[in-house]
Amino acid sequence: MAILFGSQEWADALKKALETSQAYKEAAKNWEGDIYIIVEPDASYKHRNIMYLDLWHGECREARAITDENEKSPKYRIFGPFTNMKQILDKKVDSVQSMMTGKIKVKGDMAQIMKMPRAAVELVNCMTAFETVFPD
Amino acid sequence: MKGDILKMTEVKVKTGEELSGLGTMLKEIMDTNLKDVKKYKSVEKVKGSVVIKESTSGVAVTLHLDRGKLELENDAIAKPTAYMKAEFENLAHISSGQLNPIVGILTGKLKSGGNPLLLLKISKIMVLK
Repeated sequence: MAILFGSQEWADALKKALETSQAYKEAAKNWEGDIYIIVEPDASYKHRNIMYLDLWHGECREARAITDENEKSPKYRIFGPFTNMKQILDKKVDSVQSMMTGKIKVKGDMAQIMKMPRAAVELVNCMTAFETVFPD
Repeated sequence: MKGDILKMTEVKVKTGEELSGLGTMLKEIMDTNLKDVKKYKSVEKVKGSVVIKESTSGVAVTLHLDRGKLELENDAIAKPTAYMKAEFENLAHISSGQLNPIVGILTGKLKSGGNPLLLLKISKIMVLK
């Protein structure tokens, strides 16, 4: 069943995907830090969606759809315009390629990201582990 | 020491360009390293250009060095002084100090060419440790 993007159900599905992904657990076993996944509005999408994930040593301690960006001060942010995020979620483009080209951006403690590059990649891969439907 | 602090710099971005993701990551790493006087000194007198390419995506950036002035531009220039090419994870492992660049070359994880001395010098500002 496809899950509505930006909903709490979507956040829950991502949490479950992270919890069941051995690849993520292995890649992020030393990862410490929470994160915002921010989908920015563009020509084809008017909303701004924020997902908050509390990630700790391969576990997802909390996943929540957030409405107020100031509610948390996460250590990391993955963000990009809707169209680019959708291409990743639809598995039309590779997550590494999207990061390298700048279609999606990663901000935060670059030293930790460079130590565990696979963790960022597997996190994005988990976002594609279930079917997503997008609001009109 | 006071003079050294005044010399510190950051990597500029070619006018009018928005850096790719690769360029943004490298700029952040290099800017952090350039705050370290010792690391800045390793590139202070260097002149040349280095192409850094992520091999899976094909995304490349060129770092221009001109005696203490550093500038990044998107894409590879035609005739750089040196180049290096690796997959994202290997570039990241080099930047985090988990993979020695020399070992990377010997094991084929890092491909390089051109002036090896220049590569050695810029490795000082590409590794976060």
